[in-house]
Amino acid sequence: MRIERIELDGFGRFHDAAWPLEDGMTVLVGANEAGKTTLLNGLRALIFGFEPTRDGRTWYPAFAGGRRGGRLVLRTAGDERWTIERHGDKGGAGSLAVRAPNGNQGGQETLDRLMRGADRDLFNNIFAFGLGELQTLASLNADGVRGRIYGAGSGLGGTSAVDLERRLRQQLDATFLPRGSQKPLNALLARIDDLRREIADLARQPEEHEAAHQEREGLRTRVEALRTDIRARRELAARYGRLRAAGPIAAELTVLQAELDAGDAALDAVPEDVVAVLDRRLGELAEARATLAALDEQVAEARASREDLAIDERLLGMAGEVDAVVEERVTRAAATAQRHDLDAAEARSAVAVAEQLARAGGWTEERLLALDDSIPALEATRAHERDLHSTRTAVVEAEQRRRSAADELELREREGGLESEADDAGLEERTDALRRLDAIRIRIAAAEAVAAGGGPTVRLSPSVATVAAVGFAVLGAVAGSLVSAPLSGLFVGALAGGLVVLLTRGTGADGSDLAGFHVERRALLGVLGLDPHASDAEIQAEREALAGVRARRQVAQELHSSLEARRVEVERRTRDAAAAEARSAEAGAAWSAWLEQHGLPEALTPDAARQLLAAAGVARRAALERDGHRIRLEELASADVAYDARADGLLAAMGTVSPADSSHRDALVVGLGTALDVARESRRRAQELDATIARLSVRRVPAVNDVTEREAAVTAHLVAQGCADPDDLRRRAAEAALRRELQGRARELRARMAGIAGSPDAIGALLAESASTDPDQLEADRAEADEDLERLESEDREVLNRIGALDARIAQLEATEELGTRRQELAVLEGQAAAMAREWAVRALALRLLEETRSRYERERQPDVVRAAEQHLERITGGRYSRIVALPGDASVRVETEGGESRITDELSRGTAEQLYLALRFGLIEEFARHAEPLPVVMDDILVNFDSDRAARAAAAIRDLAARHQVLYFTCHPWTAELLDPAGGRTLTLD
Amino acid sequence: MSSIEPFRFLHTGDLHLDSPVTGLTAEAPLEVLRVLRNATTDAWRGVVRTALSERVDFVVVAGDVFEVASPTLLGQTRFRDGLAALADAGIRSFVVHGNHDPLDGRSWAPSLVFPAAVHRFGPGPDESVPVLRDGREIARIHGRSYPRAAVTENYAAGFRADPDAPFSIGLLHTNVGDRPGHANYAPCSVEDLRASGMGYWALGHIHQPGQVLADPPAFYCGIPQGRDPGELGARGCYVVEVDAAGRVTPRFVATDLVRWQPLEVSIADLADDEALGRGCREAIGVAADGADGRSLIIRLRIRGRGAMHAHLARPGYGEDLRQLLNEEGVDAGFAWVESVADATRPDVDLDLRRETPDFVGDFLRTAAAARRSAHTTDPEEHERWTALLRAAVAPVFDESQKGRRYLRESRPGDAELSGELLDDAEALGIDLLLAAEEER
Repeated sequence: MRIERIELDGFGRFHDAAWPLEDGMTVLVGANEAGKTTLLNGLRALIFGFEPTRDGRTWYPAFAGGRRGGRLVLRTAGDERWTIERHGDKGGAGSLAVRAPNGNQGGQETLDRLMRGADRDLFNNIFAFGLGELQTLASLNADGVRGRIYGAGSGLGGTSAVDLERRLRQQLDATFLPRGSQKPLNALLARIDDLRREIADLARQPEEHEAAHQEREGLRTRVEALRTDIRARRELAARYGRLRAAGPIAAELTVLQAELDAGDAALDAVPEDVVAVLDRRLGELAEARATLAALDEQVAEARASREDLAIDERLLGMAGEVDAVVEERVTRAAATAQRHDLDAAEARSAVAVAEQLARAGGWTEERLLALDDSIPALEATRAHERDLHSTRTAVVEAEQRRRSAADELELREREGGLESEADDAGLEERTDALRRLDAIRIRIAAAEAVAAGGGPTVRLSPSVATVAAVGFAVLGAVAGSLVSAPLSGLFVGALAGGLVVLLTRGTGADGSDLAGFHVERRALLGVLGLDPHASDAEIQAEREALAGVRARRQVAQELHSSLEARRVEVERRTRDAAAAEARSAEAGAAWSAWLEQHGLPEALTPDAARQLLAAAGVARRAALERDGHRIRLEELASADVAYDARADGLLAAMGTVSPADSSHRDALVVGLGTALDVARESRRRAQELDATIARLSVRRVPAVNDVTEREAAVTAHLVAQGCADPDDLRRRAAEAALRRELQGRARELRARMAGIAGSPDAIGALLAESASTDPDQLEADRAEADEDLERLESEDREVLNRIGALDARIAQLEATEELGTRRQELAVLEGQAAAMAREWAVRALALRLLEETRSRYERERQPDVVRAAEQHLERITGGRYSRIVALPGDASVRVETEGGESRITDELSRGTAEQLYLALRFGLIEEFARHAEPLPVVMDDILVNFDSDRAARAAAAIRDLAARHQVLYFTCHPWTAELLDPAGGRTLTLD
Repeated sequence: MSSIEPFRFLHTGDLHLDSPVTGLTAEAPLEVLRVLRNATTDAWRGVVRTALSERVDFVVVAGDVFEVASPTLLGQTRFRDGLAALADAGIRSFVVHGNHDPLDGRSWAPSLVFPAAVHRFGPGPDESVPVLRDGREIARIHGRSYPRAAVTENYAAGFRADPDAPFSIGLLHTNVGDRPGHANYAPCSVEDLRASGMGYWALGHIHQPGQVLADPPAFYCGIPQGRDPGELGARGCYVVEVDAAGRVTPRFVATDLVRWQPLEVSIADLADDEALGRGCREAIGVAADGADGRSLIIRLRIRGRGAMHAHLARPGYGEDLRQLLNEEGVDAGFAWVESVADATRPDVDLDLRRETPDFVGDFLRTAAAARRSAHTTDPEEHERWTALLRAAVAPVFDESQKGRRYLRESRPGDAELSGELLDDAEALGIDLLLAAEEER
């Protein structure tokens, strides 16, 4: 692979800089600070990304301008062209675009594949190095460097064993770290640790259960003892209580008993409700008396009202007639309003009839009303109207068409009159003469040409002749267009041309022919009426005149035909107009007949007829309405007269003189109606009062009996209790109640004593014990017993509470699933941890196997590299050192001289050590290239510490390397450039 | 032997109540955890239900009701409640203690009161209890509990049937014939069992149910619920019928709720992810159909050589597949895929590659050398590889304090390091190398 071009948009001092590079050696010479190292680092950055910030400053900022980064064009051994473009403002990958030869675009992964696994370390230390890298062995011995060099030959593609190891290591670290806590296996083990502690705590539950159980048993025993003590204390307290309670009751009972013994025992026989019975019977008596008094009052009131009523019997006797007249009066009053309406309607109808008569132009009512305004009549007027209109329109249109045809004929006749008859005598003969003259002209010309050529026949080649024929044809066409038509001209021309061809084919012409032609020409001119020697121009003029005559003759023929057609048209239009007129006259006659048949004036139009018929309809309806109103008005007048007579009769019967004024009469009729209503109400009220008096008289009989019975009951009650009157009875009842109260109290006290003593039988003993007890001592003993009881009960409660708590705890311990649940969780976690650890172990073993394999692989490969390096070292040192001893894993390398002198690197001069490292690099570069595509090699002034001989030999070795690899060598020393590129053709200057 | 009244009893043991189910390598859904959490106690309930529904005359429990290392009150309460339910139905229970619940341990809460119908055998020899029905003895049960966990004495040799007893049953927690993989407690031989004169030996200790001896009939009842991936298949108890002639007919009744189910799917003929998923689902479907209504915890092992190996070798693929297979969720009667192990190998001839002089060949030869080192006669080579492999895994198992403490059980020994783990490591390395080779 080689670098075809390096472009830096902006990198350090470079802005928009580009270096096209050739294969093989390129030496870049530049003074200090010309940018050699910048370019080297720019190259590294384009391939591997930007170095991170250093000391807070951006690594190679684009301070000269441009966008930081650039482009690299690579060409592979297979001649594929790849482009790498990378830009970025900071450290890291930046934005990378890798374009493949086929235009596809990739990223870092593509680039890695392209570089065949060479990473930054490998590239910087082996393929693009400066003096700094050259001066240490460490840069060669780094694991990644070695692994990749040898890995290139491992057949693992772009991946090396080092990558696989790193991947496995990452996977292992992602699962577990020996001192970690966050990784999954670490976290799992930590969780197991926590869970085990938790389980250890929970596992003490059986001990707690046993302790709780023991404590509960002890407490239950204590509860039994407490219950015994409490029972004894309660019995003692009860006894003290009985004695204390019995004393005052006994004293009160004695006093009560004495009082009862001294009282009237007969009072015991007085019923408790004796006063209540008395009060109830007195109440009933008072109620009966009140009922009787109320009935008497109602009868008196009814009788008084009945006597005050006066009834007009005469009026009531005439009630039927009065009602009829009053009702008729109302009807008549309503008829008055109706009459006014009828008068107005009758007047409106009469006016409407008069209006229609006026519209008809003074017709009589009978004539107008006799008209037939039916729908068939109206439709007939419309049918006639359509006929009249259409026939009239046809007449007008026919007349218009006739006039138009006549005008057209007149116009054409005027145009035709201007045309004189064309003179066409001898026209055909003259035309033929002209045609023959044209042929003669051509023959004469040909004959004259032959004569001018000295006699021998002129032969044109067929092609020339054909061209001439075509030329004549064209000329003919032009000429023909002037005569009649281009086609005929073309024909004439072609004929002439053909003649020429015939002539040229050797038919020939001679002088006698020419004379004959002239004779014929003159004859033809004579036919045309031209001079025998007339020129071609005159002949042409004659031809044009003849063409004009032919044209005019054709126009005259066309005009004649047109006039004939117009005349026929005018005649036909005239016939059509006459027929239309006849049809119009027929329609008018039919209409007039219809008018006459329907009694209408002769001159009426259908529209006017329809208006007249409409007026007749309106007048007929108005006349009908008017006559109806008149009949109704007459009926109303008759009814008024009948009413007046009936009212007068009624008033006379009632003794009233009927007034002449109808309104006064109406007032009197109304008054009679009102008086009749009053008389009817009085009669109804009198009947009602009579019924009430009769009903009350019936009800009074039992009320009187009730009062008598109640009075007897009160008397009987007083007699039964031996009392004279109610007050006496009340006094005796009060005495009996007091005695009963004393007896009740005595019973209550005896019951309380029985309750205290336990039974009625024990009352006596209790009274006796109470009498023998000192109350003060009793009180002291009782207080002490209460105190003991309270203490014991309190302890009992506490013990029971504790037992309850223990019961709950024991039940909880027996039912808790926590311990089992935690153990199950632990089992699951331990299973997971074991599985994870096993997986980890498999990866760890795989890693160890890979490391072992790689170590062995490198060991086996190393001799090749060292042998190659030995050759380079021997060459560079001029044979001074010929052997290198480098053991895998050793931190140093030994070299041996031809004579067997051995030195470790620390014992070598700086220059020799650098030559050793350079030789080893060459060995590694060649080993890498053995299995992968050769990469470009970039060196930054690495020969500065070499003496001139060794520098020259090293330069020769570099030149040899450039035969197989692209080599870029940066130097600030012109002599180095000369060593590397003696011819100078491969040296570029940086400035 | 006096005349026998036919009777029926239930033989159970190794309940290990309220002990955790172990061996899960993935985070289980809550529903699965809930079932596992209660699996042992629910299985015990199943035993009790069986006894009640089968109307047995009595129940014998052959030790290891709990684990002394992890007793819980809940488990004991559940055990007591079960015995109480049996007692309420008039069924007596006879219990011996084993190495996990010895009499001197903390496993039995002294305060826990068992019903009167329960008899717990003591540590002494010659203890026997008659079982009466309607006042007549139908059987006599001989039993002996472990006074401590590690009993090395041959208890069975001391069991002798009483000739007057109608039918004798020996109830013992013991390792008959020194079965490998089990603690050799109260060891005895089948000859000891034969010599005892028992009509039936109700044995505990071995979790796999099955017959030990035909005459006299001796059975391990097994554990009622498998608790780890090693306890495969149906687990339960025996309902034992004894007829008038003294003939014994044990009948196994499954009581487990969930079963461990290893499944293997080969990628040999599978072309793509979809085919693999389909193959796995089919295998799971077949297993679920044959699970007798039990839930399944499935350990799926993908094996064989084929194109799908490259997919399975991708980090996270197995877990993705597992989640895909579980994506329908877990409910009652679940079939939950607990793990997907990739035992596939690339479709290349490793023997041929091992002979190839390139880096991959070097790698295979290095792995082969490591594998050989376990059996090499060259002590230096053996020492070198042993140290190298140990050092590789030391950070997790040895250098980390918590790793030392909590990964002790799973710490690989030298045989595993140069065996199964090395094989897996070789496969992983080859996958990486071949993938890198592909990039070329």
